[in-house]
Amino acid sequence: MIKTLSNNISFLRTMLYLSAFVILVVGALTYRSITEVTKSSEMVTHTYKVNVELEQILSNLKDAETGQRGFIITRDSVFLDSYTSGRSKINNSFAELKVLTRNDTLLNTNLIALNGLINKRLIAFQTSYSSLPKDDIDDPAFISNFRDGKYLMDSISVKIKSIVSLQNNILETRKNEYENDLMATPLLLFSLLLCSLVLMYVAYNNIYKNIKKLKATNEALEIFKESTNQSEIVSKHGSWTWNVKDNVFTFSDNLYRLVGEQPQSFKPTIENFLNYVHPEDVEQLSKQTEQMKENVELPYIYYRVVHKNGNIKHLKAYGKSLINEENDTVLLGTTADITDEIMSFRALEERNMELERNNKELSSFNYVASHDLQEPLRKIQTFLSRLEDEEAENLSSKGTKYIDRIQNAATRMRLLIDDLLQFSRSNKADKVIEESNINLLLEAAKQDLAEVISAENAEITSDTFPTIKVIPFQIQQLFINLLGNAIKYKAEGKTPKIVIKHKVVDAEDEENIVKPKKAFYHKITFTDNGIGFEEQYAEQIFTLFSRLHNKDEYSGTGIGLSICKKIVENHSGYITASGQPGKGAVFTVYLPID
Amino acid sequence: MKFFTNRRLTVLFFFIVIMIGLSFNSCQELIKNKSLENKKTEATKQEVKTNQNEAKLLVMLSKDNQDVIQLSKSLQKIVEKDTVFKLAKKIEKAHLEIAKEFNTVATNKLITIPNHSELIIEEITDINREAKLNALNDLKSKIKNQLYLLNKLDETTNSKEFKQLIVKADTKINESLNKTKNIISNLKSNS
Amino acid sequence: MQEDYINIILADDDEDDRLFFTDAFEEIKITTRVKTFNDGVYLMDYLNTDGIQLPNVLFLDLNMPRKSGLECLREIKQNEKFNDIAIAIYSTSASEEDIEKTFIKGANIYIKKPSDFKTLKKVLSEVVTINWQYHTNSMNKENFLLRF
Repeated sequence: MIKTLSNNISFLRTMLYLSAFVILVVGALTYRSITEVTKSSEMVTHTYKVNVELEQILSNLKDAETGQRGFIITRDSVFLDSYTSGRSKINNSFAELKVLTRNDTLLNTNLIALNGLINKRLIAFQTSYSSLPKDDIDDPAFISNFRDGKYLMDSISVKIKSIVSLQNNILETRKNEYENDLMATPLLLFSLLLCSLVLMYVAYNNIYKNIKKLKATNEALEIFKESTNQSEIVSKHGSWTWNVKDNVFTFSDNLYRLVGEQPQSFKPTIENFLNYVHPEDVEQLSKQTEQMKENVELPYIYYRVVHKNGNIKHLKAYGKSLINEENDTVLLGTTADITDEIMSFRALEERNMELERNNKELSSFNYVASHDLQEPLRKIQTFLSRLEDEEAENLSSKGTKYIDRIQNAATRMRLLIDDLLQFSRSNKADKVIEESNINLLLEAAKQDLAEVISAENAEITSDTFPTIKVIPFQIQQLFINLLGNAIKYKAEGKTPKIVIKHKVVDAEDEENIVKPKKAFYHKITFTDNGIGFEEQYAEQIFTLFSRLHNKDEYSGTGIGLSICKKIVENHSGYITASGQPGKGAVFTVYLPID
Repeated sequence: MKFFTNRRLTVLFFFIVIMIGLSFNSCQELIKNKSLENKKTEATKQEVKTNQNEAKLLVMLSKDNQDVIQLSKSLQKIVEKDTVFKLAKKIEKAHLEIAKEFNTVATNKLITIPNHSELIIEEITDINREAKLNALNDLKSKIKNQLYLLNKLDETTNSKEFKQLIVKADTKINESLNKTKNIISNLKSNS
Repeated sequence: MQEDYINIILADDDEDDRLFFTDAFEEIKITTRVKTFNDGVYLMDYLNTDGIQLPNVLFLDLNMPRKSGLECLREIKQNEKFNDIAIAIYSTSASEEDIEKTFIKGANIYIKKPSDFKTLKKVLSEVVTINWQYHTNSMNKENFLLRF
């Protein structure tokens, strides 16, 4: 856009120069025409002056002649006046003519001839007087003189006429020349003026188009400015510029609003702005703005402002310096109101802390409760067993049965408490994830279940595991729970066989993993040949306290698998189950690989 | 940006300066032309006047010349054939030459000069010394007048031709004057 | 000098547990002399008394008022006099934390209080018959927690 504009400017400039040039040419031509006209009019005047003088001479001669005739007729000397003054008058005219015809040799020659003729005529006049016999007009000499006089007059007339016509011819030729010349000039002038008009029109057109374009751009700019203002308001931003050399600030409208004022309500200077800054932050802010002048860029500056109505807002500012076209340093800055973010952050923090506290309380409650519940329970069980041992002979069969039942209930309660304890321990917080030898954990788990394993003759085969980053005791618990379940839910008559397999898999290949967080996972499968379960319960079994069998068929608290799920989730993994009633079940654990 | 503005300003400045200079110049030219014109017309008028004066003077000179010729002719009639007569004849001849000179110049200068004298010389019946003296005095005065007119012409004219004529005529006329003075003294002493 | 009985001390604040303990030892066919203390203070006071006969095995409950089992353990281990005492932690809880702490502090074995009298007798007889010299040398965390 700017390039086309500058092109247009040079275009207009050439137009201007061209038009100026054309006008100057027109001016020059006009000047020439005027001088030509002046010259030609001078020529005409000159010619007419000559003609006038010549006619004057002729008329003087004629006057003299008439005077002579009068004198001859009346013998009154008053008629001789025109004759006596004739010569001087003629000489005067000739004097004029001499000056008029200074440069014209042809005319000069003609005039000399004319002068000769006139001289002769005047001589003839004189002769007529000197030779005039008194009162005898019939004298032949007299008549011949007169006749001669007439002939001379005629020839003078002719001569004069010829001179006049000669002059007129010259004038005519000159006029024709001039006219030819003059013909061209108006046409040329006209065409040049047209040219100039065309140029002016072209320039006008160009300017008009450019103005329209500029207007459109301006409007777009206005709209953009408006939308920027709006976006500033919506996003709670303000922007400012600082011409460091002139120390001139501009604040955007919304920047004023950020300090709680109306737009442009005070002069944009640092001092005025600092008035609104929180007293504790003023010093730091001033220092940082000073730094901004020197550095090209500065990291974010945080400070608070206090509005007139006492509200405190948190602002975040960022400045960057630029060198503009005139080699001045100009700082451009953006300031954002992050009060809301800070408030919500603080609120979030508080809630988090509260939640953590709650959690901790619950955890410890959970733990303590379970732990403290164990004590009395243990006592009950111990005393019961002592009772069984010591007082067996003293008890009736009913008594023994009752004691049995009490034992069962106590045992169940113990299981529940144990599981609850496990559950409370399976929180992630404060647990250390470390590279652990999974094989050892599996062995420890098997040790834990040693009694049951040997009692049922369970066969457990497993792959060799690599070291994985886990919370060791939780994974151990996981193994315990899964293996324990597999043995507990063994098929009637079959020895429990559990196969544990390990594989590294690609998250995308596993259907079980929905929205995987990592690319690769350790896939550990526990396959057993127990009673299995219906597929529809595959997800339900992981919920807390959910059981598929009642307590008389199979003991259990319904917590075990949810503990497994919790443990796996602590490790950002997944656990799934699938089963076939009567055939067995497969539990799959995915642990992510970093 | 600044440099650009400066250039435009400089161009504008120079343009204005040139325009002012041109207008001044043209004004001055016009004024000069006008004064030149005036001078020229003045000069022309002056020239015409000079020409007219030259013509007038030449005409008067010619008239006097013709009178001198006439007077000398008539003088020849009234004197005996002696030195006076010869002198008179010489005077006549000289002035005829002068008349010829006058004619040449007049033709070139587009001036008509009289060819005859219009003096009416009375017939002198009584040819006595007084009459002769009178005639001679007339002649002398006429010649003297010629010299006076010649002087005047010298003052008026700037033309080379006239100047030459004046020189020639001056010597001749002075000679004639001397001759006339001789004749007069001769006559005075003779009686 | 071989004593003909094994000297055993139990520190436990719970009356019932003390009863179980002493009853169990009465029924075990090992000659033992059992002393019990109600809390850590009584225990340490006794141990620090001059001229007493130091126990062969000390059973230490963890949750005791005034002075906890852990504190006693620390004090005992700091004193060279008690180096020959085998310390068995005898506690209700079997939390990782407690096992860890007591293992680090130098206890010899960790026993979770069984809930069955028969099991209790078995455990106790096992513990007191361990050849502690041999056992201590091959101590590791896996063996630390007694499994039954």
